[in-house]
Amino acid sequence: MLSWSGPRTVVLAGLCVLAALSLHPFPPVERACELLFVPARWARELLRPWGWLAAGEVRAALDAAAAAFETERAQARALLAAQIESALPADPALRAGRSFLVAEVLERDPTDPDLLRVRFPPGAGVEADMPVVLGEAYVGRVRAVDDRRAGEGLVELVTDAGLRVGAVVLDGAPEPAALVVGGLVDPRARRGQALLLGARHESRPVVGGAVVVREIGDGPRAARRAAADGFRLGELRVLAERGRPVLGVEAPLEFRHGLSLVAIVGGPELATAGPLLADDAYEDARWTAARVALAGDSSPRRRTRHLSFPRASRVEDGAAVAVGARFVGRVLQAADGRAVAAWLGDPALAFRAAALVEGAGEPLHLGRLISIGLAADGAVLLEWTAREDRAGVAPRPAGRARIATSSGDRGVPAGLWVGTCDLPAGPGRHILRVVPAEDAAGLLRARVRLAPEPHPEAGP
Amino acid sequence: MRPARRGGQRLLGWVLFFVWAVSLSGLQALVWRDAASAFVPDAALVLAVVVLARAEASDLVPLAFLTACARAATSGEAPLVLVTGALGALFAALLLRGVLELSGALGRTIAALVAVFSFEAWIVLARGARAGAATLDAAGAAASAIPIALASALAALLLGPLLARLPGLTPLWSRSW
Repeated sequence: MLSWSGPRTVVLAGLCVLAALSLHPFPPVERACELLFVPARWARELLRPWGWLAAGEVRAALDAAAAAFETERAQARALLAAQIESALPADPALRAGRSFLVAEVLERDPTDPDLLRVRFPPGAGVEADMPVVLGEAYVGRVRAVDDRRAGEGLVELVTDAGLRVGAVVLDGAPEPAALVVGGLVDPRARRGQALLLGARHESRPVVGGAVVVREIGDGPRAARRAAADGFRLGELRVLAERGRPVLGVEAPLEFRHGLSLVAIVGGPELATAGPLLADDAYEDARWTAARVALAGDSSPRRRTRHLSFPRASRVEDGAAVAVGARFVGRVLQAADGRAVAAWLGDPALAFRAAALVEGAGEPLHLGRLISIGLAADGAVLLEWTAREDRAGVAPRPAGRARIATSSGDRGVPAGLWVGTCDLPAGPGRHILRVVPAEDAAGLLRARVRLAPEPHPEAGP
Repeated sequence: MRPARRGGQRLLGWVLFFVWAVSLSGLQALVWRDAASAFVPDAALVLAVVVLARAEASDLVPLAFLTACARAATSGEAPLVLVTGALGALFAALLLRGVLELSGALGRTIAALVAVFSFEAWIVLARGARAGAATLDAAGAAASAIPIALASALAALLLGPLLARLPGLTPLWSRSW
């Protein structure tokens, strides 16, 4: 029998403190803990030879990916070209006299969900106040071009409470009614999944109709904004709030997860889009080779891997990990030439994707997919929330589909193949059973996406 | 006898315990990768329970730290979560040592069951909390830990004597075994 009531109390108190710090991470403590865990790093090196047991199998998988690379790259580029085309307006009247530069969405601003960070070719002539559209729908306008990161800028969505857009209601009357649109009626106000944009200052009473942009004002800023004239803001709705009518515009876009590529609209000074995005997924200089320490994870239901790569590599949290043209996972945490990555099937993995559905003309932007685990047969289970079909719009395609990564997550380029699945019909939450393009379980080598070179004139 | 053991021998004992724990964790990782079943034992934690049965109570902290390090070498879980889980699990086993003889078959089986269950359930809970889950799913965490805890208890029952005889661990024993 032990006599250790004093130490027992100390251990209990220490456990409580550690548990609190584990549940509510405090970065300095986490960093200190990482330093203390140096023996774990040495141990990983000891485990490396274990991978040699399956070297033949791994080499065969890498050879298969290498052999398919050219074909898969061509297919990915065709998918991107179709996505770029679908980001542009189909109506010739909206294309006439304007230039369109397709930009990819990099991420949401972590502090403001109404701000998007986008990437476009550096030196393309993008300026603040240029409108941003998707197809024929108005998205928002460029708030600023980033001086620190070449070819990046901030886009303010029309859902932002501070953004105001001049508009008119096309309700069949000889003279369209003018109004101002911007922000949301109420962040919780929705029709199904559609957001209701705020509308006010109508020039005459209106009850319904299509709302399109018509900016007013003089000067160069107003001229830039007016490049969006004619683009659709949505359908006018009249809501009853506390007995009085309130106007709202039912937005045609799913702003939360539905934006992957957008088009910046300008005059002839704006460079037009090429067949590829500014951030090409297949540019060799943007990848570095990484070694996988052990092809397994000792935590049940996890599929993480420890990676090592040259210390000077610009690998950021969230970077994609791939084999050839095939997506296998994302970096969770990177520092000093080491990283922990979540493979497909790990519950910590999420990414945005597009689907090429058999028999459908255009690629389908799926939005965010969340990995929830593996099925018994090795299929990757991905959670997907499908948006509702809109009245007057062709229903979403369903059936056999090939899934690829899409823009919207920093570090993950569009156009890496994820796998194939049967895309179910109908809105709401679905679990996709994806047969992965690459079975990454036994991988010992992979490629990690590098962050772009910093702007030469940017400060530290 | 511990006083008779030189510091160097004990240090070697800890190093070898770590090497064995890492090896068992690595093996576990490879088995998890290919096994569809959830009934895979947490062999490194079972080894820690076997060592704890024979070690001093004051060895709890280094034992928990090295067990967590071994797991961190083969898993992407946060080190702080692992060390908290290992310390809590082995502390529970140490409390059981007051009422059960952990070196016996029944004692080590129950201790392994309790330690592995609390460790795995804690990992799942902490992962959810760190991922920003609105509520902690304690029932889900417990359910996911049960198969591993049962497999580990069985492993402790059958393999405990073998684990106790792994080369290099005797300098950690607090009395002759």
